[in-house]
Amino acid sequence: MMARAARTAILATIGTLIAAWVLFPILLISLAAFSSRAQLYSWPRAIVPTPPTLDTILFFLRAQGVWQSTLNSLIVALFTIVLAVAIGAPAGYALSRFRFPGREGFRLGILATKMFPATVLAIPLAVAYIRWGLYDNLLGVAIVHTALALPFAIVITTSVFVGVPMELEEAAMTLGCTRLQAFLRVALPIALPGLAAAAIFTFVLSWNEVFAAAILTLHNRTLPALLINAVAFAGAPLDYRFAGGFFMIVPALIIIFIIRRYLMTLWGVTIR
Amino acid sequence: MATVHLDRVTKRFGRVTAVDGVTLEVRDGEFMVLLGPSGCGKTTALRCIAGLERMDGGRIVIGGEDVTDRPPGRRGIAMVFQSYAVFPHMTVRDNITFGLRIRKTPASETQRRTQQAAELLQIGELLDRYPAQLSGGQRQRVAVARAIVMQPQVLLMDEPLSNLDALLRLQMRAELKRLHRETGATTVYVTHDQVEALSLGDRIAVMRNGVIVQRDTPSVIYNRPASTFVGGFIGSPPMNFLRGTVEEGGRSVRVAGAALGLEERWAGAEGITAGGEVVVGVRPEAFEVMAEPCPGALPAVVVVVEPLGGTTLLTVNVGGETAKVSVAPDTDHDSGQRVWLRPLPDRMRLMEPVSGRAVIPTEEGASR
Amino acid sequence: MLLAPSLVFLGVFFVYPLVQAFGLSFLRPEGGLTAEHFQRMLGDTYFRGAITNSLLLTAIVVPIQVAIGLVIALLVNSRFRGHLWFLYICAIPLAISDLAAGLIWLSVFTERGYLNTLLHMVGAVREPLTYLSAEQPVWLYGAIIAAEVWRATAIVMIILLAGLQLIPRDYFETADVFGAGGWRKLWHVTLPLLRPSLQTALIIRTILAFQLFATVITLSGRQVPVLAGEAYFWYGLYRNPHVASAYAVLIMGVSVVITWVYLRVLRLREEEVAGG
Repeated sequence: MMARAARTAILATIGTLIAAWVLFPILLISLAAFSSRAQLYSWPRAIVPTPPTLDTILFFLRAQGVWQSTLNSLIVALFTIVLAVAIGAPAGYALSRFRFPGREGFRLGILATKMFPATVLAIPLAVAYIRWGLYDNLLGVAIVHTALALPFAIVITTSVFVGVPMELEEAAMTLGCTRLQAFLRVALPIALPGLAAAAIFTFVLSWNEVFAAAILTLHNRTLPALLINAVAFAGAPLDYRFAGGFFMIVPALIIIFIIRRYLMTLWGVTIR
Repeated sequence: MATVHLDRVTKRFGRVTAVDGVTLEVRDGEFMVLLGPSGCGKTTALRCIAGLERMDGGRIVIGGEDVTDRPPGRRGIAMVFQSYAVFPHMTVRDNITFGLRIRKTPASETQRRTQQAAELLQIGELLDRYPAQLSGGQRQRVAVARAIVMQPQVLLMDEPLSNLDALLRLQMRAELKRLHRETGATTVYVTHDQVEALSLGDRIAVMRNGVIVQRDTPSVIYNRPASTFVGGFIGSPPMNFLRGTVEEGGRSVRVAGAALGLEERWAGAEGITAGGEVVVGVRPEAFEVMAEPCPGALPAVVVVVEPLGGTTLLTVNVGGETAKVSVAPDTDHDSGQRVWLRPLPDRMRLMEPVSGRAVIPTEEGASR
Repeated sequence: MLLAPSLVFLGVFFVYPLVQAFGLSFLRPEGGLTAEHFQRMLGDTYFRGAITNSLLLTAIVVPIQVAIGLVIALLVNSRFRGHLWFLYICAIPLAISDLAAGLIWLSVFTERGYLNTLLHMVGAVREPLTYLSAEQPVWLYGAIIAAEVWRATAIVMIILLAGLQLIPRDYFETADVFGAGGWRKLWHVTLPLLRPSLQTALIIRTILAFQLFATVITLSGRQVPVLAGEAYFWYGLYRNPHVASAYAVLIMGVSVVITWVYLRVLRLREEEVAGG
């Protein structure tokens, strides 16, 4: 069937082009990160650095504050995960199981908060933080990140717990468990993969967050905050920037690759 | 094993009363079936016994102890859910031993009971598999095993067979009956399938709109339904209901132009007044079908003939009303044929036309 | 009981800042209501540019993203061989922050960057062209748009894909039975049924695009002022939280208006949502 074959060919081409469009820049930044400073500033340039070098990346890692801010980013992300899951999971559980007045209102509220991202929160919080002594504090940043991540965490945990039939916990209760025991021994283990994926999603969110981190920190910067400052004010050299970009995406990419299946189901996409 | 006593149990959901002041006694070792259409409150009643619903009124007494305020785990019950609720993240063995492990039963005892249950339900080779690897019927047996190892005072079952295909359902029904015979467990069983109820129950409690409309042995429920509802719900095809008028002297009732003789026992019964309207209930298999007109037989015209293998089902028109008649498979009937139907007198039931309640003949008396 | 922590948390760290934002933008440091912060914001040299740019960028980026996102979603949904890998690849940008995206495309558009290198290789240019300067506003814009489209299309795609998968096959098959061709099916069956997802995607994407920040800064510094960027500078550079708040409130206000407009224009009738 000519038409069929032609159609498949066209689709395949479009698909390949798009995939290439997505992958190509990532390839480029990787190449840039492995190019020496001299090569980055030279003209004319080669696309593939020969020889590839670790100098740029090392220079970046050793630059002032980078290692520390990476650690900070990790700490903040970890805090955020703990807070977001600890606060969001019970809410998700409650939403999935009980019918109570105000349920729809709460739901809508959660959706609404998705619409107000970092910019609006960060600035007034910065002022408040100074008053509360949370300014320039990693915990403070983690709190804001949690506020940003909480809507997602709640939505995700709700759908995860909806996927665990209430009857399982009821069965456990008829077999002698208290409510809590039933939750810990039955609901939680089944929900764990979904919760883990939610945690990882929160990690990436926190790791990447720029605006609030930049506003709320001075000395204890996270990596994105450090980078944007370097770019906006300190006029960092090219190799620094590219290595920074590369370094920022590598962990996120690895993580997303690992949980790619769950990520899809989180957003409501069924894998077939 | 113990008795179960529901004392004026009431449960409301918002403005809907699902269970309305239900009182029921289940004897020790009895297999009691709660039967009724969807929404009649049977599952809710069961869940009240289990302690999974907080009641708005009444008490639950199991084995002589008032368990109304106790959580499900401390009522001496075990439950098999409609969806089986087998824990997907545990092996079959871990599922079965779950309740025993919670109660910290010693390992030897756990092992012994598990072995027993596995043999009883023939799932011995499946013990180390995960539920995802089992078929529906197998999972259901795991659910039952999980319940009986607890050696509960009362075994509760919520439509356990409804998710199985027809053939499996038949097999499992026989299995459950055998199980009950061997364990002698007091069982409360919920179903909407009246065949299951008739087959399995020692007694059946028919429910409608949150109340029990009749509680009796299967044969009484079948032959002497307490109302048109019960008569129409039990039996497939359901009981036929024909309108008639009681004649002078109360010795016959006129239906579709013919006079059906009434037995002695109906004469003085309440609700039988000369000239009064009455509903005559006759089951499809309780007709004598005749080719010639005959006294005490109703004239009818055959509309549809359905050969069902074991019997043949005729849809007939009796004086404007439709009735179903069950005849032997080798008889010859055609659409349009005229027949005369004589109801067997001892199989006839009379009901009040407005309320649907059965008229109780003088020899019966109250049997609730 | 279980909800309490969430409510409390969000109450303190969400509602409070929102209120605070209003407060800061309207109050004098010493107390008392004033409009002077807003006046300052409006009178600032960068303000005009900021609001124009924010609106313009949003207006250009969002439609492109929706179009491309739709194409990808449709492709994935057609389940051709290897569609799973295609999906995963296209979802990669979800992990990439706007900062990183900016840096990535910087490597392309910078003077000694990959674009020039490629052009040099094919012999189109001899000397490197400058793209990211105020003298080349079109290119500057183009770079920002390229970076944003590349990064955030994945978000739109995922939302649309989830919506596509919710459409029961029956609808498509019915259309086939009635002889509807490819385009017809798309226009009359798919798109109307996708309305809820489209609405969600549009709202989320538009609001976020309106707050574009790091991408712009990495590629253009302050040469292309944007509202979020201005808020950042007013806070970090000029140390004036009040004007910064004014910007934040403005952003919030526009976001609300946008949402309201979307909800009205893409009015969802009950029957549509129910799928009837």
